[in-house]
Amino acid sequence: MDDLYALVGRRAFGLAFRVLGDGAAAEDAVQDAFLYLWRGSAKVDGARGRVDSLLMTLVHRRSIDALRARQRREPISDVMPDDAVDQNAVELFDEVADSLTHERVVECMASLPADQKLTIELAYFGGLTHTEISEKTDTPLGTVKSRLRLGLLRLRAEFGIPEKESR
Amino acid sequence: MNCDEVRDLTGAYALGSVSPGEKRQIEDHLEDCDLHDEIAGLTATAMGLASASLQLEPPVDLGGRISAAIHSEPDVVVTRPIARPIWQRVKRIAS
Repeated sequence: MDDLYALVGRRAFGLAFRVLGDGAAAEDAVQDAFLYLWRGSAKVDGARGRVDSLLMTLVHRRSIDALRARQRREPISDVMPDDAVDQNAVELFDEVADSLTHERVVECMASLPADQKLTIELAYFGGLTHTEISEKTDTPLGTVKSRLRLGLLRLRAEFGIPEKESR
Repeated sequence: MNCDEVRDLTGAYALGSVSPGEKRQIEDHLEDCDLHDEIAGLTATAMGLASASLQLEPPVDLGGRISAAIHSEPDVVVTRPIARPIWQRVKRIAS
């Protein structure tokens, strides 16, 4: 566990702080993610994929849950894909994970049309549903859905995430 | 939901930006739909967004507090053989 913390501690805290904007809350989110991983480690042991990728996903979810709780909105754990993590997605992500440095991801995000970038950021870092984004930005719901999908499809290509050959 | 409705929501789903009801409907639909592959790809893409945030130095005692909290937990019981234990995988990544 100390090895994992040494590997991802700064990344995890940086992500939690960006979502929550609060050091104490970010610490809680990171600690919750480590404990969740520990409690589920028997299940995780049987799964494929990198542990650091899983941990960062958990940190994001815990951070969004805390943010939504602060804003009296329903937790996102109920609406994120799969129970723990989508194994097909983890396998795809692991193929490119090492190339996705902070600089690289920021560069890819900057290549998106501004409205797609903003909409994705409101969903990922703001924890907003597409309906909430539509209301917040006074944008038609269909447009929000389209920006999220097209923006992510474009990012997928930029990230170099391969097509999965079979299920 | 039909295929077109699910396709409209693949990005929102990957980002956790759907309602619980929409999530259930999408997952029911994906049982027999090729959009499963698009969902996996976009979810993998969403995972990469974590790196858009800067790395920040956490408080010096956070690692110790996490370690203490874990050691106060009951032992995790593993009920089946493991090809590659989780903590060995951590060491492999860290090295």
